[in-house]
Amino acid sequence: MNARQSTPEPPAAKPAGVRAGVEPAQHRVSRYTHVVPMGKGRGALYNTRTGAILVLSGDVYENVRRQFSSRCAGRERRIYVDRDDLTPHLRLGGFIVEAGEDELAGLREQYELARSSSQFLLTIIPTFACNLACDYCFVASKRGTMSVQVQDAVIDFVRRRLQSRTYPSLSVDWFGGEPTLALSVIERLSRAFTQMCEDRNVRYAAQVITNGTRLSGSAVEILERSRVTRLQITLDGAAAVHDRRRPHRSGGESSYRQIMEGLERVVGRFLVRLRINVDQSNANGVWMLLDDFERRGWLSQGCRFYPYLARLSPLTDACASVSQQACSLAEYQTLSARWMRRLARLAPDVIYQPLYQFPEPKLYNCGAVGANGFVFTPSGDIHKCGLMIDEPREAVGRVDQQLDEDSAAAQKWKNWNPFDLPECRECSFLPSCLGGCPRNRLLGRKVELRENCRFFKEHERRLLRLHVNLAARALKPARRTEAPQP
Amino acid sequence: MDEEQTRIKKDPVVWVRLPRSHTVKELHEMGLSGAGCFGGDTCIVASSFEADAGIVVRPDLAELLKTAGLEPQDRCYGGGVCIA
Repeated sequence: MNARQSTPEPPAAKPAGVRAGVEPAQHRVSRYTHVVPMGKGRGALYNTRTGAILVLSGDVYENVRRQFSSRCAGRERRIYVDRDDLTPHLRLGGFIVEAGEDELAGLREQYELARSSSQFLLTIIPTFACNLACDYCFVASKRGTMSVQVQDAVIDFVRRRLQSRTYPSLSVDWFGGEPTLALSVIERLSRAFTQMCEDRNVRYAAQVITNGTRLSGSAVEILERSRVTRLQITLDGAAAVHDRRRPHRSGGESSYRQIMEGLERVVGRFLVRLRINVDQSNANGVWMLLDDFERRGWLSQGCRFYPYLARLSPLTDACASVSQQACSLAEYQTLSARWMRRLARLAPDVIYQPLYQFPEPKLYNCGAVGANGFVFTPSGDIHKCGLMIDEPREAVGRVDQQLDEDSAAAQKWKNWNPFDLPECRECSFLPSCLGGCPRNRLLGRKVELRENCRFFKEHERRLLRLHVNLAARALKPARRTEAPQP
Repeated sequence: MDEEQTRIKKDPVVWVRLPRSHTVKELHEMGLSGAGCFGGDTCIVASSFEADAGIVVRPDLAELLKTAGLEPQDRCYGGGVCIA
C-alpha cells in the first residue's frame, strides 16, 4: 500500500442542504465514470462499464462534479453527496462502487465469459459476384458462387454446432459480393437453418447487406420467406454522385434509381438501415436526401427506416484510394450530429437506434474474437473476420472438414485480449472500446488504432451531449399523448 | 414547503439510460421511487426533465412505444443493442 492509499483523504466539505446525521457509506468513484458538463448548470454522469447516463442539475451537479473530478477517479475516498436520496442512484449507475471492488478484474471476467459463450453468428457470402463496379470495393476482384456441395457442408456445420452446444439464438448476415445475385442459395440455406432452429427452440434472425439495386417484388418475397427481417443498403450520396461512384458493371442503368425503387418495396416490410457513405466531396449533397425521404413518407412512425451517415474510410488495402477524400474524424462527427438532429426532428424514434456511434459498453469486440462467430466464403473457407477473406492463409478451416480451433490462424483470434495491452488496461474507455478492432491491432494498423483512441477521448463528450439532447427531444411527442389531467 | 425541499425541486435527477432493466420491486429495494423501469435508452420515456427528483416512471410506456413505432421485444424494451 502506498502512502496515498494509507492516508484517507479528508471528506469534501458538506454543502448546504446536507441532512444532519447522515453518514455516507465508504465508496469510491468508479474508474469508468465520466463527468460531462452539459451547460446551464447541468451535467451528465456516464459510466463506460454500465452504460448508465444520469443528468444532474444545480447544487447536486456542482457537488458531484467537484467530488468526481478526474483526479479523484479510481482512488479510494469517501463520497459525500448532498442528498441522502442520491446515493442509490449513484450506486445503481455504477458511478460509485464499493471501496474494495476490483472493477478491472470484474470487467475482465465478464469479457472472458462473454466471448467464450458468444452469440452464434454466421456471416455467409453466397456469392462474390456483383452487378456494380464501385472503385473502392474491397471484394471486387474475387469470384465464385456457393455450390450445392458447399451449401450442404454449411448446413452440416450448423447442425453439428447446434447439436453439440446450447445456443439461445442463431443470427445470419448475408454478405457478398451482392448476395441478392444468389437468392436461391439464401433461400435454400435459410430453409434448413430455420427448420433446425425451430426443432431446437432456437431464435433465428437474419439480415442482408445489399447494394439495394435488385430488390424486385419476387426478390422481396424470397427474402421474407427466408425470414430476413433487416436490410442494410448503401448510398454514396445524391443521385449524380452515387451513380458515378457505384456504376453498373454493364453500364447504362442508374443504380440510384434502382435503389429508390427497391426501397419503395421494402420500407415498412423490413427494418432498413440506409448507410450513406460520406467524404469531403459528397458531404454537402446529403441534405436533399433527407427531404426526399420525408417526402416519400419513409420517416413516418412505424416505417423502421433509419438513414445514417458513415465515414468512408480505407478498411483494407484494396480500398486505400478513398483515404485522399476521407473526412477527418471531427468533420464527420460534426456532419453526423447535424444529420441526427435533423433526422430526430422528422423521426424521433431514431434515438432508439445506434446510428451515431454513441459509446456503449461492449461484452466483446466482434464475432471474430467470439467463440461462435464464423464467416463462410463461397468456396467453403471459414474465416473469423470478414475483412480478412482476401487471404486464404487466414482461413481458420474448411467447411467440409473438422474445424481445428487450435490452428495457428484460429489461435490468433482466440489469444487476442485487450486486457494484455497496458495502455488499454489503464484506460477509462476500456469497457466501450475493448482495444478497438482486433484486426487493426493484429495487422499493426497504427493510424487506425490512433484514430480509434481519438474517437473515444476527443469525441465522447460531444456524442453524449447529442445523445442527451436527442433524448430530451424524443420526450416531446410522448408528452402530447398524455391524457389531460382531470 | 421549506427551503431544502424547494431546492431539491429545482435539482432533478434524470435518468437517460439505466444499466439494465429493473423491476419495480428491485427499484424499491434500492430505495428508488417509481412504478416500473425498462432498461436501456427507452428509459428516456421513464424520466422527465421536469421531474422533481428520483425516477419518474411513465405509466403509459407501452402506448409510448407504440407511438414511437417500437415493438416491445422482451421485458427489457430498451437500448440500442436490445432493439437491434
